[in-house]
Amino acid sequence: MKKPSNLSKARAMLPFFLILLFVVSSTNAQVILEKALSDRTTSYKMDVELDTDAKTVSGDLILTWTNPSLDTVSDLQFHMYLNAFKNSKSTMFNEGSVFHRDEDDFGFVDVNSIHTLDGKDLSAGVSFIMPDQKNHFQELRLSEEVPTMPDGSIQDETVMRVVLDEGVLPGESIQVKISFTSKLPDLKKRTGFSQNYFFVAQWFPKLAVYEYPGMKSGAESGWNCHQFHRSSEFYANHSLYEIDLTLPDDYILGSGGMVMAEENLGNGKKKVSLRAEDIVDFAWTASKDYVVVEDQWKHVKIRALFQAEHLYQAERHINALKEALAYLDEHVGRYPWPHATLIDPPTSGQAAGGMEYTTLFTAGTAYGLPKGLRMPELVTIHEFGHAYFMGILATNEFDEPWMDEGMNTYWETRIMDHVYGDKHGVIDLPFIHIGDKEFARFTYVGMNNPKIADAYRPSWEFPHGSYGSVIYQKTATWLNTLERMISTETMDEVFKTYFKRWAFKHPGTQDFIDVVNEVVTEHHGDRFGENLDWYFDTFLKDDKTVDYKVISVSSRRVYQDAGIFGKADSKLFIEQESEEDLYRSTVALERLGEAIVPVDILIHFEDGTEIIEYWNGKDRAKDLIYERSSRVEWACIDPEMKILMDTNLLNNSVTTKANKKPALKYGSKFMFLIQNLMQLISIFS
Amino acid sequence: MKALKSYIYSFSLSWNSKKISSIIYLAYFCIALLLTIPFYKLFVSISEHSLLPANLLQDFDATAFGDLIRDSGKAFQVYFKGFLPWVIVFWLMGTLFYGGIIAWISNPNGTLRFRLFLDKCTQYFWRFVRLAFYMLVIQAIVALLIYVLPVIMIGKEGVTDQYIVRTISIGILIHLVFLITIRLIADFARFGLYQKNHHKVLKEIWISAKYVFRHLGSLWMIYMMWVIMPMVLVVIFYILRTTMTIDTTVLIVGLFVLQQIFIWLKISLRIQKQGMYYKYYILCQVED
Ligand SMILES: [Zn+2]
Repeated sequence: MKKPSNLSKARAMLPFFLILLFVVSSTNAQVILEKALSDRTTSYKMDVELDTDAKTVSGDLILTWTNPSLDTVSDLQFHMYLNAFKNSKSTMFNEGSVFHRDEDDFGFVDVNSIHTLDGKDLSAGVSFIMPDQKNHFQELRLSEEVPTMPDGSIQDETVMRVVLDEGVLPGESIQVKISFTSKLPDLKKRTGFSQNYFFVAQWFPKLAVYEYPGMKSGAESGWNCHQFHRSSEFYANHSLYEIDLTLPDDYILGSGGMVMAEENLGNGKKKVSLRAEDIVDFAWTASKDYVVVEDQWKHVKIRALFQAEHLYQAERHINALKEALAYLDEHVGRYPWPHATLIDPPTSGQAAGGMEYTTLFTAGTAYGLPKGLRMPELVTIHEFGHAYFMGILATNEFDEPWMDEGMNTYWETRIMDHVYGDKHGVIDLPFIHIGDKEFARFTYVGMNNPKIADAYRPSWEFPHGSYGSVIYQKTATWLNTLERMISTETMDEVFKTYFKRWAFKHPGTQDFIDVVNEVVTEHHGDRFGENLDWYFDTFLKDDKTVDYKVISVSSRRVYQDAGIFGKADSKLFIEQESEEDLYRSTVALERLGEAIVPVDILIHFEDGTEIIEYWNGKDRAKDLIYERSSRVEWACIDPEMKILMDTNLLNNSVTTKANKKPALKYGSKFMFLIQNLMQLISIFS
Repeated sequence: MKALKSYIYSFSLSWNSKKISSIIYLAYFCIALLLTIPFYKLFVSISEHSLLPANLLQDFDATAFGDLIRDSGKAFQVYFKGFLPWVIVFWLMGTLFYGGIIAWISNPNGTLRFRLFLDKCTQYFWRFVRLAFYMLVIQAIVALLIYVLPVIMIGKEGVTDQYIVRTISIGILIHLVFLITIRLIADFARFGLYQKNHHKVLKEIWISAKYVFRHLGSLWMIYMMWVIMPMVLVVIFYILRTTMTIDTTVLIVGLFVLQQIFIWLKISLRIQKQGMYYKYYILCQVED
């Protein structure tokens, strides 16, 4: 009896189920992730077309922005990155030479119209501002006109301000429709075209990040919108992108989104509907010459677009990507997207190489590169790593570049040396090999002036081209040093906590330091002091260098008391006599660098005994004195080589037993080299 | 047939030329040693009391090597900056020995007198320097012609790195062929200058060029036969070096001896080649 009753109930419910199924399946078809990972403060809906002859991308953009702050926001600020390529007055060109010549080489982004979705024209409120000029060339002007500059000064148009008639209230949303034309520049720096190759990045009017107290450490109310500098990258909200892109149907498309639909328009064109969720930047590329390779790592579908001549290196790239996915998944957190796209740009488009757009990144290789030179692997691992360090953990690349490039280089060194072998990570040739951690340290300590700048400053304020070495290699080296000090397990715990707490948000420097302090205290108590602020003050916020030195190791016999003792008639003379087999050994240590880091010292005695001493390093010098039956043979500061920041490891030890073997070996190598050179030159005799 | 005869003959010549090989080897050895001693002393002074350089014994160690060089970077820099004059010295030395070598290979059954060797070296020195200079100019022009095209192409849009690598590889191959041919011309020009004992270097280059192109097939054949030995030598040395760990004094000395044998053999092979060409030169003259 029950059965018919249930059946009839189910029949009655059927239309409802069908509707539900349709709703669920149709939304599933449109949604990549199970749930939104970020607040999606911004979303972009675009309908654009690539004109391969005019080298333009033009169309409409509907921006939705929800005010996340408690402020009423009376303007909007946009990055107009392509205007950096407009003329020699842009900030970017002023910070270096202009690399374009022909009219077609320059690029720009024009706003044709701008209004709210309900039709209110906003064009009267549009101006270009230069927020970074206040301390440099001129006062910040918020005029509604493009400021007129005297000759020779900057007239940058990469930040557009739109004053609104009515402010956006806290929690309220605004929708703005912008019709724009982006003329792509000749591909000389990250974005543009090279003949029929297109790499399209920083290509549309992109809303800046509105910061407010409590959002991240150090945040104040207001737009954080910087000009496009020569050595700066980006900062953006995690956003939803829904893009309808029309392009010639013989072009192969790669993008940071997923293809939702593709329609052949019949006139030699196709329209591709793309969708990306919770990414900070949307880039895409189109070329007729790509060869597509697909692969899978767990939940991630890998799509790689190669140049035909690099196809034989596909495995090297894809394996590196899988290794990075696995390593970061295990040690930091889960890569949430089900897609990752690797782009191998052509030779003429190498300026697009080695760049990251979260779910899409560009690699970099060369034909004929031996397997022992791991450039393709390194670039792949590094650029993919940015999916975490500034993709998921969306730090401000303008203001705090150490948090993306530095942290990411640290993980790059870990992955490279883990996968390809410690001390063999980057170069692995028969007579020479270098690990990635070694390479990072080598670059930092090998700088002409390692004290040239602290790493805690905006990316365009590094003097004399020191940005790369300080931000990438120095940061990676002090993070590797920190890892060796607090242990790899604790370091992993730091990053896992950082990831859990700050994924899909915008952490600042202090937010990371807070996590370090919390986790390190939990694991090690006060072993490293009350907290690790001192460590960041020394290596991040200051330019101090570390250099410890063993000045000398010396030993002498210990003698019994000798001389004249007593008074007047009762004077007693005792002759000097040595104690049986007792030596006084002195190990003299000095701190040559300004940075103070606690170190271990390993003391080795002639009888084989070893002891470990601890030195807080606070004084400039320290003597270790031993009275033992055996003399000190050698002393070594930081025997486990934890302090990679030490700029000279050669002076970290002194041994009393001279070892000439290395000199002998390299002397004979040198002589052999000379002899071969003599033979080689005689070819031209 | 002449080619084969010359090739076979060159082995016995090479064996009989042990003394002359040793004299030349010693001359090179002394100069190399002269340059190595200060290098060694510098290396000892910066490395002997630190534990870090020991890492360089088992295997190469980029950190140890880097810190060592940086610690005494200035001293090493001075060393390498003054190297160009030495390159010229080596070039002149190579030229100097040709007079003695040709005197010996043209009369290998005589007894090698050191005095005569030196006399012949100096007697032909300036002629051979001029010859070497002209050949250097020709080499430079040839290299320029071979590489100028790929270099221009590198900047062009649409040129792939595969194209660049392949073009340069083919360029190197072509250059190698020219290099060997030009060296053949130089070798036979020297024989002509020696035999005729005159100073008309340019004229002799022209005669030699005609000669080499007339006999190109045979000369290339004997060159290719000869080159097998040096290549085998290099491969053996490479295998030995990549499989051995040099970390004890005995092994370091062993390696040194091995290196010196390698250099000696290289010099010996050079004399063998000269002897082989000279034999061919004589056989052709007998036939004419
Ligand atoms: Zn990077």
